[in-house]
Amino acid sequence: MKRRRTLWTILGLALIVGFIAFGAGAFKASLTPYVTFAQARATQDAVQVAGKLVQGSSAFDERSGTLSFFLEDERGDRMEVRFAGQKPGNFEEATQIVAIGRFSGGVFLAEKLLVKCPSKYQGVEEKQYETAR
Amino acid sequence: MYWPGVITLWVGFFSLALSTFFYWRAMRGIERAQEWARQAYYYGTFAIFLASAILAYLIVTHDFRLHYVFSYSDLSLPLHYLISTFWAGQEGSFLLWLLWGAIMGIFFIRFARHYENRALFVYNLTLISLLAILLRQSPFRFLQGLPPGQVPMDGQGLNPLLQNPWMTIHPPIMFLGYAATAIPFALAIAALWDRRYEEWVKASLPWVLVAVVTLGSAILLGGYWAYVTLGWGGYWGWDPVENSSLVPWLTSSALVHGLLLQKARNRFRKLNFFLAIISFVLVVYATFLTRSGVLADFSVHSFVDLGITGWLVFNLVFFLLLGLGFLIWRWREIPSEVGEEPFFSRTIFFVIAIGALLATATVVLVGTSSPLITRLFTKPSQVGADFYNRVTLPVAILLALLLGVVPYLHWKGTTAELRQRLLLAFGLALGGSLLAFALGARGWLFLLFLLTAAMAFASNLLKSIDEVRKGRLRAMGGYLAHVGLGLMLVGIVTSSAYDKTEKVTLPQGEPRTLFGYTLTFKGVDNRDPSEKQAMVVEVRDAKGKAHLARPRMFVNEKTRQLVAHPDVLVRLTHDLYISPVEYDPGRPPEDAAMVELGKGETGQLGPLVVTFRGFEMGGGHTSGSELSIGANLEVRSGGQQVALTPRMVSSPQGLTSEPVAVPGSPGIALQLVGVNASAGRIRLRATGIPSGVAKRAFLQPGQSLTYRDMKITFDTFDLSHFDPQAGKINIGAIFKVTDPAGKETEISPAVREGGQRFDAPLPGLPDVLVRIGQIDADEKTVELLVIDPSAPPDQGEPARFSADVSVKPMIGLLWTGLVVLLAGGIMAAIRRQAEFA
Repeated sequence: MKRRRTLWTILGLALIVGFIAFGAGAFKASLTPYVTFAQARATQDAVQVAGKLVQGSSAFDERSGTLSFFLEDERGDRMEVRFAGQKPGNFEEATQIVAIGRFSGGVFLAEKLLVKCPSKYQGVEEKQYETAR
Repeated sequence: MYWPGVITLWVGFFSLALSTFFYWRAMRGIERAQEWARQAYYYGTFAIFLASAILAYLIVTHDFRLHYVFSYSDLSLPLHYLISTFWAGQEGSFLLWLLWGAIMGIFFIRFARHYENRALFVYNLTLISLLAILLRQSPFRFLQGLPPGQVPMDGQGLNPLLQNPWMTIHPPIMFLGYAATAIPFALAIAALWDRRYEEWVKASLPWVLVAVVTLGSAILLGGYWAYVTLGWGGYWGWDPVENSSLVPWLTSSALVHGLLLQKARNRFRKLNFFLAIISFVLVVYATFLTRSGVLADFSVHSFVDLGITGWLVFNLVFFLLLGLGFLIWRWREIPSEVGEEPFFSRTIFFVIAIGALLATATVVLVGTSSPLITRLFTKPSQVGADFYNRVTLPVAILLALLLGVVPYLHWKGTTAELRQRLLLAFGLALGGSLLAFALGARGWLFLLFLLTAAMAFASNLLKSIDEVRKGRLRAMGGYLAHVGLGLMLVGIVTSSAYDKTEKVTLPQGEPRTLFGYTLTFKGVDNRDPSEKQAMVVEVRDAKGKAHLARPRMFVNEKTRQLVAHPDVLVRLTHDLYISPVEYDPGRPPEDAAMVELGKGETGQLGPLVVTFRGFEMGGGHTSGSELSIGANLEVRSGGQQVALTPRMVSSPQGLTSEPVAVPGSPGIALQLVGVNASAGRIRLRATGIPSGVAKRAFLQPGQSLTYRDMKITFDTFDLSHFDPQAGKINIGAIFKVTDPAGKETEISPAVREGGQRFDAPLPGLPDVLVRIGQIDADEKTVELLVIDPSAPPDQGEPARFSADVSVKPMIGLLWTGLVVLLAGGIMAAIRRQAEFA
C-alpha cells in the first residue's frame, strides 16, 4: 500500500515537473522581445517593434496579397514592414503600430500587427479641445 | 463635476461603509446591528442604482458637458447604442460591475444564513473597492477646458467597432460574471473566519455555477462577436483581454468540481478555499492587467492608463493578502482526511481534472503576464499564440479523455455499465474520427484530440439519455453541460486545425473558384445607408446554388477609421468566411474625344458628326449674375439628326458646363468646354466614347514625357482658379510643350469641381489631347495622360475587391455546444440552489 502511494506521488511529481519543463521551453521559444529597429535588423529571431506609420507609405500589393508600409520610431529611424495579411481596421489613424515578426532581406516581415487607437482618444481630446478653442 | 451624480456615489460609499461597520458590530454580538447593516446595504444599493440611472439619463439626453458623454456618444446614435455607451468606457463599466454586485448582494444577504455577518463584511469591502475607483475617476466629471457657459454641440461618438448589437449584451454578461465571483470569495473567508468549514460549500455552489455560466458565455460571446463582425479571422486570439477573463473562468470551473468533491467525499477543504480566493483575486488581476495600461503595447484592446493604477494594485494586493492571510491563519485547524481512493473513481478523476484546469490557468496566466514577468529580467516581451496552442493542447487532450470516462465512475469506483457504455462511446468517437481522417484531417495530436473530444461528447450524451430514461432530469445538468463541452472541443479542433484560408483578389464581374465555391464580385452596394458600403460577392456552390455575401468596408465619418466587417455564410458542415482586405474602385475607361469648330464647320467625334451653327447668348435656365452661352449644334449619328444646345455658365463660382445627352446614342453626351466668342470658335467634348490612351505618366515639376517628338514638361500647378472658400476648386497644371523645332508653347489642362476634366489639345497635333489624371498636391505630382484617337480604345480598370476567404469546418459545433453547455450549467445551478434552500 505504502509503495503504491510513493509510486503515484513520484509519477505525479514527474508529470508536473515534465509539464513545467515543457511549458518553460515553449515559453522561451515563443517569447518575442521588444527591440529597437537597429536591434531588429541585427538579429534573426522573432521580435516586436513599435513605431508610427509614415503617412502615405502604405501600399497593398494585390498579386502577392501583402501590405507594405514604413514605420518610424521616436528617433526618426525608418524601416519597411511587410505583412502578408489583412490590413487592420483603423490602420491609417493609428497612433502607434506594433509589428511582431522578424527582419529578413532588408524588410521586416510581420506575422502580426497590433494597431493602437480605438479607445485611446480618452485623455487626449481634452488637450485637443483646448487648442481648438 | 455633475454634483447629483457625485453625491449619489458618495451616499452609496458611506452607506456601504456603514453597512460594513454594522456587520462588524453584529459579529461582536450586538443583535440589532445586523438589521441596521442590511438597511444600510439596501440604501447603498439604491444609491448605486440611482447613480447608474443618472448616468444613463445624462447619456440619453446628450449632456455633452460630461466628459464621459462627450467621449463615447453623439447625437446620431440610436437608443440601443446610447445604452451601450454606458459601458463603453472604463468608468461606466466599473459602475456596471458595481451595480450588478450590489444587486446580487441583496440575494446574497437572503442566502448567506449564519455566514451573513462575516461574508457581507467582506463582500461590502469588494464593492467599496470599486466605489473608491469611481470616486477617484468619476464618470460624472465635466469636460475640462470648456469656456464658461459653453457646451459642445455634439460628442465624439461611439467607437464604430463598438457600434454593434453584441456590444449591448457582451459586457453586461461579463460583468455579471465578474460580480458573481466575489460571493464565493466572501463565503470562503467567512467560513475560515467563523471556523465553519463545511456549510459554505453548499451555499457557494449556485453562485460559482452562475459565475462559470456567465463568464463562460460572455467570453465566447466576445469570441463570436470578433468572429462575425470584427473580422479578426477567428473567435479566439489569445489576446491579453480575452485571456485575463479566461483564467478566472478556469479556476472557477476547478472550484465547481472541488466543491462537488468536498460535498461528496468530505475532503479537499483547503483546495477549495484556495480556489475560491484565487478566482476572485484573478478577476481583480484581470482588471489590473486590462485597465492599468501595463499591457497597452501588447493588446489589440488598448485601455489607456487613467491614473488609477495605484488603486488597482492596492486592490489586488489587499484582496490577495486578505484571502491568503485568512487561509494561512486557519491552515492547521482545517480538518483534512487522508485515505486511499481507487484510481478509477470519480474522486481521482476530479482531482486530475482540477489539476489540469489549474495547469491551463497557470499557462494562460504566465503567458498573459509575460510582459510583466520579463520586465523583471530584461525588456518586456510577449509570447505568441503558438505558446498557448502548444502548451494547452496536451492538457486539453487529457481533460477530454477524463470527460469521456467520468460519467461512468462512482465517487469510490466504477459503475457496472462502464465497459459496455465506454465501448459504445469509443466506437462512435472512432467512427467520427475515421470519417474526419477520410475527409483529410491529419496530424496525430489533432486526431487524438478529435477522438477524445468526440468520445467526451458521446459518452456524456449516452449518460444524459440514460438519466432522462430513468426520469432523473434534475441530475442531468452536469452531464448535459459536458455534452456541450465535448461538442465545443470537437468544433475547436476542426475549425482551427483544419481551416483553410486564402487571399483572393476579385476583379468585378470575373468569377474565381475557391474551396469549391465560385466567387464573383458584383460591385459595391450603397442602397441602404445604414448598412454602409457592402461589397456584394456572389457565392455559387458546387450545385450551382447562388447566394450573395455582403462583407462591408467603410470609413467612419467621425473618427476616419476604416471599418471592415466580414460576412459569414453558414453551411451545415462549415462556415465560409469572407473578410474584406482592400477595395480598389478601379478606373472607368478614359473616354471622350474633343473637337474645335468654327461657325459652320463640321467635325467628327467618334460616331457623331457635329456641325456648329452659332451661339445662343443668355436665357436658358439661368438668371441673375450668371451669364450663359450656348452653342447651337446639329448632330448626326447613324441615320438620325438632332439639334442640341450645350451651354457654358459663368457665375461668381467659376465656369460650369453640363454634358447634354445625345438622343439615339446611349451613353454619349456632348459638353461645351471652351468658347472663344470673338473668333467665333467653340471646343466640344464628347463623353462616353472610349478613346485611346497613348501614354500615361506621373510627373513632378521639371520632369517630362515625349510623345511623337513633342516634349511635354510639367511646369507647375495653376491654382489661379482654386479658391475653396468661394466654391471654386479648379486645379490646373501648366505644361510646356516643345516641338522638334524647339518652339515652346504652354498648355494648361484642368480638373474642375466634381472631377470634370478639361483637356488641352497638343499644339501641332490637334487630335491629340493632354489630360490630367490624379493629382497629389503633397508630393507635387500630376498624372499626365496623352489621348490619341488612333491608339487602341482604353478599357479602364475594373473595380477590385480583395478578401481573406476561409473555410472553417464544423465551427457550428462550437456555438451549438456553447448553448448546450449553458443549458446544462443553468440546470445544475438551479439544482444546487434548490438543494441548498
